[in-house]
Formats: sequence, structure tokens, C-alpha cells
Amino acid sequence: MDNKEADLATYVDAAAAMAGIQLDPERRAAVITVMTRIAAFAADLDELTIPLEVEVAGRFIP
Amino acid sequence: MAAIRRRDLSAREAIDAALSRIAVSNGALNAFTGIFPERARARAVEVDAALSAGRDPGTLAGVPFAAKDLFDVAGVVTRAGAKVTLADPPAVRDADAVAALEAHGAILVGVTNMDEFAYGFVTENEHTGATHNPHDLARIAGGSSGGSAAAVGADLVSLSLGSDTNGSIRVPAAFCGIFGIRPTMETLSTRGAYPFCNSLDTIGPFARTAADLEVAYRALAGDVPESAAIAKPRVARLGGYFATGLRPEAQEAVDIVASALGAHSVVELAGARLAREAAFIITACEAGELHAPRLRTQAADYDVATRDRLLAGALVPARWYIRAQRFRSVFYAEIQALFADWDVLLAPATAYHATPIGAKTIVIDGIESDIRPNVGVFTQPITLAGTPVVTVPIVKRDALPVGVQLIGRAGSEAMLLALARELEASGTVGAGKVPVLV
Repeated sequence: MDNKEADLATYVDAAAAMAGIQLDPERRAAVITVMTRIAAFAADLDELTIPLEVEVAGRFIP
Repeated sequence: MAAIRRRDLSAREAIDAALSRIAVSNGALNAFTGIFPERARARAVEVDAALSAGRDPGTLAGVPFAAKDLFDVAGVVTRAGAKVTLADPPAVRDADAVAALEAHGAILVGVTNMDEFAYGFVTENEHTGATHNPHDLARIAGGSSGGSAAAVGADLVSLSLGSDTNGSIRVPAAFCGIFGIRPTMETLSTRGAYPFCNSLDTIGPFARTAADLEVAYRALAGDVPESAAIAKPRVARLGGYFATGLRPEAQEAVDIVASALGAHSVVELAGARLAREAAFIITACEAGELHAPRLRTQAADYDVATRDRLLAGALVPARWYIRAQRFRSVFYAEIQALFADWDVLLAPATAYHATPIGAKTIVIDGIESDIRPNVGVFTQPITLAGTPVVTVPIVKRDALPVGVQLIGRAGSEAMLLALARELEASGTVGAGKVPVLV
């Protein structure tokens, strides 16, 4: 486990505790796997420059 | 559909025939999870009485239909494919979509199988079993509205209702060889439909013909302009992201439709990959938030295929979610720019035809990828834009069905439905013969 994965695992443990969600070891590993994928997607979106004036879509009506 | 209005057939006969087909075939398909013969027959009596009295019960008079088991049906627990909902109180009234179809004379006969809480593309449900594809019972029907698509694909009913958050109408329509529509966001009421991801959820119908799909859509949507068809719509195919990682059958399907429509130009949606990723984050986060209270105490009762994604979604940092939602506006602007030059964009509905039930991975171009999270790889980006899509089927003899997405600008449903009708009339697309279940 590299530092980034370890950070994510630490985050999952802390966030689950804050949310009142108990994760047994097997479930914890699966959740970290999903969260790793989500984190990679979030990192991709982070690389994009979004103008400040672009607001959250919220309730989206095209 | 018009046979009952013409009084060639009574509504009661139509309902009895549908119930008989379900009784014969549902064991093989596992499309229905609940059947309501008493309700359906009582409604059929009303429709027949109206016709006898010279009243018009509506454009869908006596047409049997099914609804995905996330639509409320009065007096029935809305299970949404889950175990944790079994102790919920029964719905007090029908969902708006069910009521709208029945207001036009259609008759609900039952509710259909789905991925738990609509979180999946395969309809392989730990609690309710897998729905089998009517074209090959060893294969999946797609999901999450797999039961609704299989029921129409096997002609157990003429119409069905599904929901589409990331592709849950478009994927099973393609796999089961039928028509389906994901409407513009906010066009059709989702009231009484169990929510999955509020800011992406839509509902819509399936049908075996484009004409039936349009009648059903109009019943659901109310006033839709009749004259919205464009004499010669400008059609381009999406390249780049949408032309990568396809198996030959999916590529060929787009080629067939593009050729029929004279779509020789290829355009790019540069933000497609990020759109899919943003939709993934938004879905996980909103669904996770929705289920967090139950996950605290009943996580073990969730389908394992759903549970871990919901748990992770419940823990997603707010900034990731907000950034994904902000990107949505960026992506919508990008697709709007394309619609300045084009009326319809073509894309494959899926990268391949239906996969075997239980299969975990598929190899494309020598690269092995997981099936469950990737079936919707071509539907999910369009979800983020919120624009309408009609999925049209390509069903060739001795081949499994595949589908093509006809993507239009917001509010262009009538034009897309007209184009689907034209493609069907020319023999380019269509559900073909009712498959023999083997």
C-alpha cells in the first residue's frame, strides 16, 4: 500500500466513523477499492480548469 | 394496440392473453416479480364497459403493461429490487407514470425485476435472481430495468416502464432488441418512483415498435407537438470516446444506422470521459447519502453488488461531488455547441451484445475489463447532459441484438421518435420477430 492508498484508507475509516457506519474488514477493503476508483475520477476532474462563474448544476433543467 | 379500440378484441381478452403468456414464460425469463391479475381484470372490465358505452378509454385502451418494481402501485410494497424494503408500508397511490398510462386506457399487469435500487446494468439481483434475455436465456437482459425490457422483448406485454439514471433504459433496450426512450431531464414526472440519484433520474417507456413507443411517450408526457419532425435532420456520429473499445457488433450497428441516415460526419465530445466520471461520482454520492441511514444498521441485507458502492458513496468528500456537478454545466455547453450544427448524434448504446449471466469480465481488443461497471460506458456520459435519447434496436437473424442511441437536444423527443419510426419503416432497425425462448 503506497502513501496515497494509505491516506485513502485512513480517510475511509475516519469518514465511516463520522457517518456512524461500521465496516468489517471484508467490507472495508471493498469500500476502499470503490473509493480508490472514485478518487481517480475526482482527480481527473480536478485537472480541468472550470471558470469561477460556473455554478453547481443543482436541480438540472437543460 | 388499436385492436381493442376497434373492438376486434376485448380488453379482458387482451389481459387474459397477457397473463397466460406471463404464466408460461416468466419461469424462464424471471422478468416479473409481481403480477396483479385481479387489478388488471377489474380495469379491463372498466375499459370494455367504456367502449360498449361509446366512450373512448384512450390511445392505450386495454394495452397490458408492466412497471419496473420501483414504481409505486397502490396497496403494494415498492420493493425496488431490495430486501431492506420488504417491511416498508404499501404505497398509498400509483406512481404518476403508472397513473398516466392507465389514464390513457393501458392496464398494469405486474411489476418487473431490476438491479437492487437501480444500481447496475445487468439485472442479476441477489434477492430476486437474474432476468434472462429473451434472445438467449443464458445471457443477461441488461439493467437496471432488465425485467421491463425482457417482458417487452419476449412480447409478454406490449409496453413497460423503466427508469434511466445512467443508462438503465438504454442498455436493456439494446440487449433485448427493443425501443426505449430516456427523456429530457424533468420532462416526465418521477413522483412515486423510488429515487436512486435525484439529479440524474429519469423514467421512460419500452416498446417493440417505434410507433408504440411514441404513443406511450405521449401518454406520459401530455402535450407533445405533433409537428416536431424535421424534414431532413442533420445527423452526425460521435467519434473518439464513442468509437473506442467496441466489439464489431456494436460498431456495425452504428454503421448501419449512420448509413441509412446519410451520416458521414464524425464529431467529438471531448468531455465524454470526464462526463462519465462525473456521473459516476454524482450517482455514488447521492445514492450513498440516500441509503446512509439504512446502511448504518442493515448493510448486511443489501445486495453485495450494490452495498459497497453505496457505502463508498456515503463517504465521498463534498468537494468531489460539487466539482462533478459544476462540470455538468461545462459538458452541457459542449454538447449544446454540437447541436448548433447537428440535430441528432449517433452513438452505440453498449460496446457489445448481452453477456452471459454470471460473467464478470469481457475482452475487447485484447484488453480485459469488468462488465458490471462498464456496460454503461456509452450511456453514462449523455446522462450528464440531461438531453433525450431514443435507443433503436438492430436485430439480425442468428445474432444477438444491439442498440444505437439517437441523441437529440433538450426537448427534441418528438423529432427523435419520428426518426426512429422512419428507421423502422425503412427496415433499418426493429425488434423483428418475437424470439422463441431457448
